[in-house]
Amino acid sequence: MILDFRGPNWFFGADIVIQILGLIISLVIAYYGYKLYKITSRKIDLYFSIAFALLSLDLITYIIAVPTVFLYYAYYYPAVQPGVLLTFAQILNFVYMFTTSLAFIFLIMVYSGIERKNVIALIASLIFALTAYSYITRSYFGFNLINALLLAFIVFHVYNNFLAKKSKSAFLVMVSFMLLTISYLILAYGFYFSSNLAYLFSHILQFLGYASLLIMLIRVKYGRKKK
Amino acid sequence: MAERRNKFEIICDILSLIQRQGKIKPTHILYKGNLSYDRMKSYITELEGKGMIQEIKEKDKSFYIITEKGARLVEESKKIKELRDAFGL
Repeated sequence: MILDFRGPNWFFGADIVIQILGLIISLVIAYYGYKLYKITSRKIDLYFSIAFALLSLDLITYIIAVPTVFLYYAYYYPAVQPGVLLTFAQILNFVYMFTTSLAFIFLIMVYSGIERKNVIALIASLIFALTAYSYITRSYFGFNLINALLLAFIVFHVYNNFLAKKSKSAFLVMVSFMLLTISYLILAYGFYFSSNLAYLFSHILQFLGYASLLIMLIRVKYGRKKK
Repeated sequence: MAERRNKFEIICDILSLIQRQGKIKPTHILYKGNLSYDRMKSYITELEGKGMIQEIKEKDKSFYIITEKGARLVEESKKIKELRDAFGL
């Protein structure tokens, strides 16, 4: 996915800025999630924190890998074969794909309330197998589709949470996950049809999804305005 | 009918109660916190273990006071609660 950039040339690198925003948000949520776990000692709260810590890790790998690939193609290609930089980027790509899927698996465990280890192992194995297959065959279409399906499951739960709570914060979380799901679907489409425009749109949606979470965090940090 | 409180809410309620009172007897936590004896005992043990409350003795009577760590948690609990509710945890 990192190694198979399909966006317009002028957009190369701009996606890093979007991922940096996502990284900051993920780290803040992971921090609060860990605090919640320290209070309650509930496994679910720990899984929630781990999910966002993993998302932070996958965004860090993305942020490092994109300039690495850029440097490789700008200065070394095709002089060094296989380039050390490219191998480094491939490792980061591998980490990126697995941490993304693993993060969504943890979120699914949170929302489904599954605590039976054999069920978790079965789901995790299946998703890992699909991710590994996507990595080996470089089927980024498959990888993004799997993530869209995993996110769709989370959307179902945050939507129900919004219906139950009817709060603005719950609404913003729901909107964010919806946008992220659609962005992965569009990205899958983009990789399947080699569409530059789809890559661009998917990242714009990702940005809006992160912005929605950012607004929610600002509300949490500074509280609701009194009418 | 009021919704059942979850563990996070009960912990925050106990800490807020102790903070408001300054120092409090275990029996007061029991009825003001609306808890059974066994549940109150397990929460008190857990909060003591986490360094959020502290037991003090005065004239052979046992009281609980909130620690700095516990007071910080009360302050942050609103933010954490909002985040928890937003994600439906």
